[in-house]
Amino acid sequence: MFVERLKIAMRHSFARALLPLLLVLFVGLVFNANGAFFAWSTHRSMLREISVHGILACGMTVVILAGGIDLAVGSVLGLSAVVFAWLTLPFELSAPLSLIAVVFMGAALGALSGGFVARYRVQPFVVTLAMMVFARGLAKLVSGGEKITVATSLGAEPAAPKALPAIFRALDTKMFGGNVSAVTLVFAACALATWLFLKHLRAGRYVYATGGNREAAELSGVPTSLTLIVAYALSGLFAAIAGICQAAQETHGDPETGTGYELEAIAMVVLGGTALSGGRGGMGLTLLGALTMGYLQKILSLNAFQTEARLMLTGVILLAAVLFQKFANRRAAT
Amino acid sequence: MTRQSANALATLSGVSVTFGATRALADVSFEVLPGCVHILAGENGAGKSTLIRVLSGVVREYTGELRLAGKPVRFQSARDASAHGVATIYQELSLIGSLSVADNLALCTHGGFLSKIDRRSELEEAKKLLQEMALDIDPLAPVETLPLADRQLLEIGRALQKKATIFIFDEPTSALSEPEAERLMVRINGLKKRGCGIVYISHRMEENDRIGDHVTVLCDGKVTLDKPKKVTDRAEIVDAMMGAGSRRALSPAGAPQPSLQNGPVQTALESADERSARNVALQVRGLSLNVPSVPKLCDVSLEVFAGEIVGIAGLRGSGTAELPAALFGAWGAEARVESAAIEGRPFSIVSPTDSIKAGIVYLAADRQKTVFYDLDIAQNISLSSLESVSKWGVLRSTDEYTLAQKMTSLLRVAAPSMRSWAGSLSGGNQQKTALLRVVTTRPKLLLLDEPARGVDLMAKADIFETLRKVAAQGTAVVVVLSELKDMIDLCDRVMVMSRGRIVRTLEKKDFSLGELRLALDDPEAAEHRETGEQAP
Repeated sequence: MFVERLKIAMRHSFARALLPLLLVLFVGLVFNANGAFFAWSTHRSMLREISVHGILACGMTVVILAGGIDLAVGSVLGLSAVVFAWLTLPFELSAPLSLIAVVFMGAALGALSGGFVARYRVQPFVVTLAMMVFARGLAKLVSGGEKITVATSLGAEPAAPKALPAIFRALDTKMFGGNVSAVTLVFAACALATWLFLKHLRAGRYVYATGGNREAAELSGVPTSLTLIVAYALSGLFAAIAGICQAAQETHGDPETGTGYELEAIAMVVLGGTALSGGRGGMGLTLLGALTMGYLQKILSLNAFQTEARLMLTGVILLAAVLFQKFANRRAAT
Repeated sequence: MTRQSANALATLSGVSVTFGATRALADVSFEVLPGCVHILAGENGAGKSTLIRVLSGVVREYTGELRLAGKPVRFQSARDASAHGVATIYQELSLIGSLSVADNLALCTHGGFLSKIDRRSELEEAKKLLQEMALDIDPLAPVETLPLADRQLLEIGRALQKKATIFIFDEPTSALSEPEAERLMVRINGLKKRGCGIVYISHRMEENDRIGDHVTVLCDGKVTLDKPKKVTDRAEIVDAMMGAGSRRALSPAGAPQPSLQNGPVQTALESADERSARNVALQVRGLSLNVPSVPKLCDVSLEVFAGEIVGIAGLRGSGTAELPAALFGAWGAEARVESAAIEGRPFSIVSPTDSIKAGIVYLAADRQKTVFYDLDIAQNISLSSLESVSKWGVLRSTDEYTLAQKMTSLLRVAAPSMRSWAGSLSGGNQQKTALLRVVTTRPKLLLLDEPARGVDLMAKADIFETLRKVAAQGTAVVVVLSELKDMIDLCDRVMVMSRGRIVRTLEKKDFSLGELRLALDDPEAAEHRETGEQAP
């Protein structure tokens, strides 16, 4: 009886994404590391840790739904962190202007990738791979290969360290009586914006149509090129926001930061159940995927697993979760 | 009702299949006899596809028994079934587009996983088979460059090559022109003489009449008729297809249906003079298309009036499929045109997006290009007219829902709700959904390529009725149809195409099956008669 009910419930993609999360939480309840799992600070720090990846996953969700993939987000994050640190620290540009400039740059780089995908029909994997390498190189060029810190100067001579601008601290504070990190709120806002975009804007519907069937979308009058460009631009924009958060957390701009983050973001999206083939899934699912990933990492580290074991276990669990999704989905389809 | 002939090639007895909550087949018994063409009839969703999927090893979860030549078997896979001599020609083709004709034919015929490929003998075999099939195709051409009909014939060829004893044809002629279908009929008769058993599904009644030896009708997963062809007739078959229900498809003047238009329907019989008093919806001069590996269009000019339904007839490769696509701008700048005007206003054929803005919509024949399987019915219907259900780019989902309900009251889509995935619908309902999407844009010109391909009689009647209503609203309709009877049923005028040109235009009063068939079979003669030119 219960099994039958469960099978019927598993027809909903949301339920399929919820089950792994509940499973992970249950493991957390059992292996609670002497009650550490029940402390709010554990959950707060988990949320803080997934926030930067989660922001990337927002943009990644849109791109994957549009039938593509964006491998460049980790590099764009690094570039954004470097440029943001450079603008605010040695260049001493005001925080709002720096924010706008960096976000614009991220969106522009994304739009460039999108443009190649849309106009020349190059595979998204190749285009964004190229962008990934390019943006990383640009980050190293801008920073001269060094971390940009409060001590970095514009000229050749080292300058006296300055005070860290308020924006850095503002993005790395805890709010609401120290209960939530500011980056987590940024993540929440990004997720909400993405959800609204996908669910309630015409452009969002066009993303689903283009990803589900590009040729049919074209014949139906959907502006597929524009849709793809917007999708990749959003991904770049979120990568820039994530880069700013990253810089704030690290209190400097590191040209090496964000390496491999794109895979983390893709894992969150896939774990949620959004189809890599495009057209099927959504932001809510990605949120569940992000939480599953976050709790998994947290529980493993609470229980003092070493990095090696954590990575291996994460790989195994990721594959198991996706296999489960696929299996449950096939049941639902027939 | 287990009846078992000693010489049956295959026997299904008491087979039931359940998908989730729906029972696709309920205690079905079915026999395939040697040298016999078994017609499998039924509406979309009656269980025909499920039955042949059991027979061909695709559906493995069933109760009941399948025997091949008397021995019980349970296929592990479609490959397993094919190894047992059951060949299936599917609606969706199973050839690999990027591989050549010869490679496709040689695929999985002999040798193990690691055995060496003998290209020369493969090529020889392919050439032999193509010759046997009377197909003029380069065996080294990639399959994706061939027209759909050639690919289908090739698929049939591959099944012949496998020396199967049971052949399952699922709508093999739905994409073929009449002479091509004719070739297939001859081929099937050949198989019959060799003692093969044939299971044949087609919505074309004439074909069933011609080649069928035995008729089995399914309705809601149950066998409602199972008789030799000789002792039954069309009326009985249609009755059995609809089960205990009404004979709606046979009496279109039945229940009153909601209509788009208020006034009386324009009488179809209308002379050219009367028509010219009405507005010209589309005027195109000198449309040409020249793209490699696609049938050409040469200097096509046509005029279509508001409220008129114009049929485009022609053999495969004559440009019938390319004409509506080119008019729509699907070929972009590849299609060149001297002048084009919609309701008197000049417009340039550039892209689908611009065409839709100008009031031109197009529905391709291939459902892969018209249906969004991952979107629900309401989202499918509204997709081409999202402006009307959104404000400042924000969608209003209640408006969308209302729109979908309004449109489906015009043409019923059978589904649990407007929020059902289009991918979960049967083919006929997917086709209706796609048609509603283009109709919802309230177009000035509606371009359709085979709008009733592969759908059952009732769905076809519904679709044609909807097209008449849309035309009565003042929309000009240009429709490519491969069945001549549909032409006569639906169209006010028919244009016959040959080698990329419109060679003849028939008015409604000149319509007759004979006349149309003549024009199609011998378009060159028709052309000369029309233009008075000498043959080149």
